[in-house]
Amino acid sequence: MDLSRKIEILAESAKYDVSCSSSGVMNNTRKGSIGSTATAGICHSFTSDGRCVSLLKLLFTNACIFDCHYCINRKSNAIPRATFTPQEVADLTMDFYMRNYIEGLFLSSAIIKNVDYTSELLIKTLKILRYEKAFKGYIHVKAIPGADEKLIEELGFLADRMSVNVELPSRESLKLLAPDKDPLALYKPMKQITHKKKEMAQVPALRNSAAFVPAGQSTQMIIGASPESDHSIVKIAEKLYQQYELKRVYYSAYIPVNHDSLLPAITTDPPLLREHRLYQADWLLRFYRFSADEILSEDKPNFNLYLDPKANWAVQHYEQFPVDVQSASYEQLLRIPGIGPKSAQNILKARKYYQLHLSDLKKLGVVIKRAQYFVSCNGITQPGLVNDPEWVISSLISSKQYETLKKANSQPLHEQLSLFDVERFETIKRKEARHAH
Amino acid sequence: MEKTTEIWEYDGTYYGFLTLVYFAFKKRQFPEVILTQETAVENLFFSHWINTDEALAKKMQQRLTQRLRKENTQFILDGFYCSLKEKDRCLLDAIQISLNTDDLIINHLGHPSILALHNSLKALFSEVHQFTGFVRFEYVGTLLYSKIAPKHFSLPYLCPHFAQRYSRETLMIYDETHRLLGIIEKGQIRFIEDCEVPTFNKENSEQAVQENWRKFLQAATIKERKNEQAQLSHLPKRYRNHMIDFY
Ligand code: SF4
Repeated sequence: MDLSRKIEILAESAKYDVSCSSSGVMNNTRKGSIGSTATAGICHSFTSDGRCVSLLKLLFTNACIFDCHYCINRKSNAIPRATFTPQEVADLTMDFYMRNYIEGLFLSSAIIKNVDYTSELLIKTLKILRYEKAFKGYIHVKAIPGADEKLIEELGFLADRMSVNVELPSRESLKLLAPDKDPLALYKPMKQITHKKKEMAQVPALRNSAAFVPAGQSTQMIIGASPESDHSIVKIAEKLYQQYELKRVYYSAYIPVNHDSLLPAITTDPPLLREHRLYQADWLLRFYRFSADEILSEDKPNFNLYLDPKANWAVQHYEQFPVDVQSASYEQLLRIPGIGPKSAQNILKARKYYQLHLSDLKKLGVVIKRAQYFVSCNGITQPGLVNDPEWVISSLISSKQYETLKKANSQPLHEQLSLFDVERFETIKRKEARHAH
Repeated sequence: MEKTTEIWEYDGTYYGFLTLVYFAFKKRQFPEVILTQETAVENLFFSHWINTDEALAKKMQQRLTQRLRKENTQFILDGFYCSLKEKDRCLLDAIQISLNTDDLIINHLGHPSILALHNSLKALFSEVHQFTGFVRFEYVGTLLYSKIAPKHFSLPYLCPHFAQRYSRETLMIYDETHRLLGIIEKGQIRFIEDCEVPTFNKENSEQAVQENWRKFLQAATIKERKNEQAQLSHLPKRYRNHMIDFY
């Protein structure tokens, strides 16, 4: 089979893997001479689905011996199969890297023969790149759960980032939908990587030796193939960040690829809106100092799909607003919808020597359209505001946005809970429309 | 500093600007408008021409380096290369503010000139950042060559990135907009100004690699998520002309 056909098959098979972060390494600790790992994420292209391409994302092989229900590569599917050689992957990576098409390689694989054999092939590929080609660029590789600890460690010394996919948010779902995988074996490599990293950091003699997974580890969860609530997903993410110090958790809206009675029908649209809300919640965990239980709770376990989680939190805690931008702390500023870490920092700088005015906020990067309901400046609020959370909600979402969201929402009604029910919201919007005419 | 209603004009070079700064501080006067040869055409009023004096400019440069924080000197230098229309006036403000403080000038975002410069620099740096990904090289013999058309004066900021990335290669990047050629040889960077576009005899060997890249991009697209609007906003049309991804 020629190389370009292999690219077609094995890039196609890898495309559902969402992790694309290209960086996270500050110091270049890799020995070698070609390339560098950049400090900020660099996107080299965007596919027509709008996703960033920064890495050559490939499956080493799609000839899998496992039979996971949700996966296109499961052994019971009749699809074209291909396998690269380590040399081919290494050459292709260099070809693309030298022309600045990519920042590095993202190498995943189906299980060929057995887990150890698969790991050995990945190691061989990375060795060619690092030792023969002296490649210093970024490499993200999948650790194969169940593989020998020694192999996982060896891989860790060759890669910048490693990930073990959690895949499904609960043990029950895993048992049901990935019967060949051992749910306990999933967290083992994660733990191993965390331990090894800590050990390397603590023992001074090791600190200057070869880098072990310097860009940390990440994971991915498939959303919507199994029945877990948003709350339980956000809780798991929080735990992963805390326990295993993961760099990222990725969420992937399940796209039905197989006819299977255990899974959503092949005609079901992927829950993209839900995925979007999960990413927003993830940001709140990582950059806005929120806890999972502040974002959702057991009795309100699912996202309000019409309002982003931060705005949702703000309206539910409306008594804490308006926050005065002239005197608020950084933490308080971060909780205002329409203000992100950058604009919050800008506000701190700008007010150091000058009195702020509400009209300055826009230039400082604040999204006024959202923030106006929640801020004041030296005691002054935006004129015309009504002190009522319901009014705020209906002002935050225009009728047009509401219609777009409604169309984008592919989830059944019973799965959604909203702040006040959708029917009431629709009545308000209808009234507004009547007034406008 | 006294604000006047005067209009000053200079040749648009960095030394020219420093000469102007020297006079502004010597006379203790800030002009209301500063023109360069490019912007002067749009202006009907009589302006006062300032001759570039390299010796004075160097003196000014030295004094600024001595008196200002390193970060603030850098801010002013970068500010000179951004595309803000009234950058010269804003820069005078920036110089005056930083002469009177030990603090970072960026903490003065409450001043309209600093905010304007900050925002303009953000646009410049964001373009530089975009180009770190969107530049496409091809081999011409053993040389890596690329052509770009940046809006801002990005090339000098871009070259260090590639000098580090390809520390053993020889590269050339040509900026069509500013007719500037950047040459990087084993990590060393130099520029040729007002340069014609270089011509080469191109080989066909690049076709296969480029074709593989397009194959990869196509295979990596998820059609269930098709969203050309998002693609357009992340990768605006103005970058695409020089990207082999879109041929
Ligand atoms: S192990 Fe399961 S999820 Fe992974 S490629 Fe094989 S079938 Fe797919």
